[in-house]
Amino acid sequence: MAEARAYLIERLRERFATDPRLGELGLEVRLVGDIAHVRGQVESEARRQAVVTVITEVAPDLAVRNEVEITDLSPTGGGVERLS
Amino acid sequence: MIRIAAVGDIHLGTDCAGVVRERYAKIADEADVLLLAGDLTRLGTLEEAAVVAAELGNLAVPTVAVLGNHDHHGGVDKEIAWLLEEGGIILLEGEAMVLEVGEQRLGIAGVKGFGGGFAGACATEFGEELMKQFVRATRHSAERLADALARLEADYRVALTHFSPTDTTLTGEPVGIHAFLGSYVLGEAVDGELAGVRADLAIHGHAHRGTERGVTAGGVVVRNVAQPVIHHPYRIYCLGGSEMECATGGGEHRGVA
Repeated sequence: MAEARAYLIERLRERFATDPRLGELGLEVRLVGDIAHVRGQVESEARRQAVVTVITEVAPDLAVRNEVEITDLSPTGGGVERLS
Repeated sequence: MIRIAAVGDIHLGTDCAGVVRERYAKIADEADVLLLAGDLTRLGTLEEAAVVAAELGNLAVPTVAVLGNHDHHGGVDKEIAWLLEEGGIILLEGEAMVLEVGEQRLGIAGVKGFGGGFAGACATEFGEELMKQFVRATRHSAERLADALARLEADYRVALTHFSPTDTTLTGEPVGIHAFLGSYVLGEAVDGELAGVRADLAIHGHAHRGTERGVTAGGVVVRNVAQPVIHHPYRIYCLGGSEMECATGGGEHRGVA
């Protein structure tokens, strides 16, 4: 059973990478009971919601705790570092 | 003084059209050049590349880029490169370029790079042909980077890659995937071990869960500018200026040599 869950995690991560709604390689999935906990960053709310959609398609019996954050898209640069 | 804006892993999709360019509207006040460290698209399609070109091409400062693994996913990387260059983005893959900023010359050498791992946990050119090809691809890329650095006649040399030349910027990433995030052979190129000329700064992306600041085994400053790491449209690195100059002054861009 433990092995099957490990396979499921990787099936989900592969779908996250290849599904055109996401294209994300950097999301982390953990299965706790029947809940998939997902963490990481995506660029938009649509992609954040797509995480849930993809998991539901792959494993409809799982509930999803979507802790994925949207990458900061502040309108300005991120400061200057002086390198000497 | 030269000020370099840099970001990687912006992963623009077609839903990003028209919403990114405004973040770079004031970049000429802050920097002399914008470096893009690969993964400009999500799935490496021509439609996404057209968005990248429209959003980041022909800015008020030169935009210089390498591709990343996402930009190769669709199997049309050559067409993507053409689209980006048509859109005013200078694309490097084994090439070197010099940007004149005031009286100084900034040299940039770029390759995508590839994986293979770091000291003590590396892939080796041994066994199956596929494994040999994997390791050779990284070595070939590193050699092209080293040769490009060696061709540069410049006051400062920057190595621009997507994959990392060091594991010091991978802190936070699972150790088990370090070999897929970069290679020590790229570090050898940056350090001048392959062609005799070292970089002053190495910029890379790819490691979304890594850290910004690192250093190669030979002491070259490395910065991981993956957008999920820097949390901003770009970071700026100032070479050769005083603290006051770096904080307030803008360079004078003269052209690309």
